[in-house]
Amino acid sequence: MQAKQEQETVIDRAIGAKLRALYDEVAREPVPDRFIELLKQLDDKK
Amino acid sequence: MSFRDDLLNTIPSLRAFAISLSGKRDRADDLVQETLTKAWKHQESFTPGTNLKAWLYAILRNEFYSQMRKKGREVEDVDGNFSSQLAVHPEQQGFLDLADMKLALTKIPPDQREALLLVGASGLSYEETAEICGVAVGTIKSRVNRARKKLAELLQVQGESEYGPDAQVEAIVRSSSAARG
Repeated sequence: MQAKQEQETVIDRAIGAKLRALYDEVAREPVPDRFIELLKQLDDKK
Repeated sequence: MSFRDDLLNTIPSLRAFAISLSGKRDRADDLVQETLTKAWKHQESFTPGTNLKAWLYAILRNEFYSQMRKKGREVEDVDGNFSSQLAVHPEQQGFLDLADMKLALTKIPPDQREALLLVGASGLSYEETAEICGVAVGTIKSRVNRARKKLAELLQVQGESEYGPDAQVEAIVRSSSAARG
């Protein structure tokens, strides 16, 4: 069986880079207020 | 750090996964909300020291599939919704650069999409992904491979070479492997 590294082609890496760019675009956004509020509510209910 | 802080820290990557998986921002945030609520309710069943992100991804994807089963018809409209979203937000810089990838993701089957996202973007191992999806590692590998192949076709990554994509890619891979040594 081949190692994972050997199985990855240039195309795989290009797709991976683009997927991570897509992720980073969202992940860089500030956490929406609704989630801060939600966690606060859940925590207060304890 | 409290469980609440831990959850808070995972929200950006949970949202990234949810948006890429569902193709819709509003639906994605509902998924994240549901995931956080369930995680909170069942926090005793999380083993401290294990991968919290993986645990949350598992909750989120289960929620995604259960919603998909309930609203089967809505899923077929993913494509249309994405197009309308593109029309609404063209002013966001960087959005259009990735628009082709977002659209391509909606065109591959959800099981392949989630496997590719977890391995290729969330940085999980094949083993962790297999556990999250409840299938064998080999199944995940094959889903990831099929997803990449389909995305490459959709994005026409391979379209450039007159010698054919395989010859071109093989040549590049050989030379980069050699360089890595």
